[in-house]
Amino acid sequence: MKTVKGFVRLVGAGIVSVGIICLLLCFYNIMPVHIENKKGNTDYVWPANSVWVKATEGISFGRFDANGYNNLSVTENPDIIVLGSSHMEACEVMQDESAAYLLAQKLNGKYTVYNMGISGHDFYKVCQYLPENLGLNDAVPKVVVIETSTVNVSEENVDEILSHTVEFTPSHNTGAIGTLQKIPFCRAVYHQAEGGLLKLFMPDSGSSSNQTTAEDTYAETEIDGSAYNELFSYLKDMEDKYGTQIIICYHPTEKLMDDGTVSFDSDEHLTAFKEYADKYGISFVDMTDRFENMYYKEHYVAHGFCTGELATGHLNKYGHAAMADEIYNEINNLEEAGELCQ
Amino acid sequence: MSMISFGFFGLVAVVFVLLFLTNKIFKDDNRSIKISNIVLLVAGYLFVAYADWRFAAVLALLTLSTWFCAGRRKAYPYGIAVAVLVLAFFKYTNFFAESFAEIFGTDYTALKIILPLGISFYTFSAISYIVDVSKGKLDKRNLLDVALYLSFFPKITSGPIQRSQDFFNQIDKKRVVGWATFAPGIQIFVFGLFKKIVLADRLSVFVNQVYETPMAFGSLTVFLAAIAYSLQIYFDFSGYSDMAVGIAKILGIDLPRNFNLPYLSHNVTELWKRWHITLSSWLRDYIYISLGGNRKGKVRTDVNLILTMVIGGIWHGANWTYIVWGLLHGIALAVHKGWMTITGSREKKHSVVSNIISILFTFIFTTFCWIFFRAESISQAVLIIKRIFSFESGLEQPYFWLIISLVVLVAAEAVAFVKANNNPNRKMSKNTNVSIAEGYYPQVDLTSFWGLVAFFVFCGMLLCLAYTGGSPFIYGNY
Repeated sequence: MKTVKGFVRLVGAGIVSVGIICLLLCFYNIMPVHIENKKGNTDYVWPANSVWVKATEGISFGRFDANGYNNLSVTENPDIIVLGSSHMEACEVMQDESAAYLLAQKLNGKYTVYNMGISGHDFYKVCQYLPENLGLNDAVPKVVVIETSTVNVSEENVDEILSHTVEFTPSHNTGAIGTLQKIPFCRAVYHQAEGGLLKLFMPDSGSSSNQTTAEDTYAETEIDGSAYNELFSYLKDMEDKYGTQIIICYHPTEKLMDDGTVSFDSDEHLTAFKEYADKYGISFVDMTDRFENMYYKEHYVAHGFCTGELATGHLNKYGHAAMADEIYNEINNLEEAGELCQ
Repeated sequence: MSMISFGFFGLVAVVFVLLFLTNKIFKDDNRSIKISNIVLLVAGYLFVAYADWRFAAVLALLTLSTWFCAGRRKAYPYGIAVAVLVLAFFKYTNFFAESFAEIFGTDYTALKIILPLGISFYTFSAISYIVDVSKGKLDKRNLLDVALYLSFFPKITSGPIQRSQDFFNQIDKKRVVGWATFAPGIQIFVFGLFKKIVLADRLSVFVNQVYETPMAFGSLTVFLAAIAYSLQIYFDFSGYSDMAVGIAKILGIDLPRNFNLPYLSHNVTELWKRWHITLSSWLRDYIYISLGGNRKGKVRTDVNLILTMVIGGIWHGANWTYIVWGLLHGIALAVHKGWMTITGSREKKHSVVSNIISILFTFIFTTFCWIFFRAESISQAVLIIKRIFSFESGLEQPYFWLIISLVVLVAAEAVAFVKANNNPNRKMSKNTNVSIAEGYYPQVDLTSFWGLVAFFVFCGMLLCLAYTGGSPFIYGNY
């Protein structure tokens, strides 16, 4: 009897403590669970009007709009849509610090802007979903901004984009896993485990030195001119078919050097990407010079937060502001060149 | 095998169960004690051999030498010499050879010498045992006891350096291992784990980046990183010590406290009574006093203090940065001793403001010294110091976890201070120039519902907040 009582007390205390931890996590890390996107223009979206709190990278909180994107409110038939990955989704900064919001402020009502950036959607996935996004509203947006931190394009990537076979990421919001994900404590522990919590307790297992990093892969991959040709030809077709302007905004990763300088990813892939964008008349904004100036003149880096290393991770508020500035300038350039229909 | 690993947890669980069963099965106290000690000894050697069987061999040889030499009038100096030479060979051969080559401009190829696990700590334990037995403070023990004393696995990697008398007193008695030792032990362990994987490891991210690229950061941020390192090393090492104390407690052995709110110290003398207490008291008893202590005049006292601290510095590692760190502390101790004599301030009552200034000044001085301790070379330390005092602009980083760590530290110290003030039994110190606050382990009653809830919430938050990038124990290198 005593053992049973003790067991009940143990289980009861466990349940109550999970409840308390969930409440405490409301101040640290609360993210909703992605749901399937019935419109089919992304793999998934956030639940409508759900809230998030994050202090794991940047310190931020906010509410997703009725469509499940990170905007203060839904914009019907926007003039400009912003597509991209978690950088553009901008859950690490406050909602009024995101590039999309700041761009709208700069445009001051001249054009409406709608942020459709969603985590896990890299450049290839965004390109794949371009037709769906352009055909989503009654009116086609005048401008499509695509954010990317990669400029490496292979034949395989292009094949996947054109055949609509870029790996689909399911949302896992139903069943036992879905239920577990909705318990903030379980979700936080899962994320910690993904981040290396288990490795922390199993330090002898595996060696990270054997893992090939993305940078290594880039360095090893040769330039495939036909892949760039196909990609930009596809993008140009999109522009022509829908009567829109595509702006690709590239933000390189930074690295602080021990002599106090900063270096950026810059290789032949970037050169090729620029060349082909130019060849096909696709607007390309390279943030490298802007970030460099920002570092040397204003002493800011575009990535990283006060909770971790600087110059790594997601775009911070300075990075977002710089991107908003450069995209705004590009829109002005397009207007001046008469390439943007009023 | 790291103390934060499933392998280590498994070892502790097996040893705990074996000790528990030993107590239950063997009603004869002597037999129970003997078998319990053998279990602990085997576990200790398994722990060391898991890292490298040769480490276990080194430990066994030193144990034999220590046991054989202790208490023999002619042999005991050789016992001490063997311990010192073993430590010197593994830890300093390359350092001295490299320094020699640099001075005389000769070629030098580093020897491939792996530092055996815990050698810095168990050689000091061995020396203290030999000296204590030789001075008649302690009876000579059998080989099993000496072997267990040197190989007791919760403390072997990084201490605390427990005195032999204290250890033997405990292993001579029947130890009741069970819920009564598990409940407080696991709480102390988790408390230490929180300090390590949440606070220290999070701080390490900031500190490492600034120390690797100081020129990228503004003076204020470099200064904040220096402060962050003061906190990091405290949370890291005191966290490790707490974990060792907790594991030992679970297995029925009480290890001494190694830290006692060191950053509440009013001066550097008090700091060394609160920081790495088992090392500083070892250095005092076996180095400083052996050198003559304060019995040979003022100048000799100062020289002894400085020499003791330099030896303490070298003990940390084969690098000039540790020597400078020890030298700075030695000079500060000598200066403080002189200051106390001249002003007689030991007997004076100090105002609250004066106390706060003393604490802050001591903290800043300690932080300055840690710059040398953390830097990989003297030139890197100088670069950091130059950067702080250049007042140049650069990246600024108001690091979130530094603020959290400071809040945790100040809150813990405030609670300790209030507890000490409210304690009616507290002994009023004649010396007003020391803090009355004492370190403590927050404990809850794990048999009560809310006690369990509090403990589970703490464990859960630890999992959610832990830094998962992994960062080795700082003192694991020494």
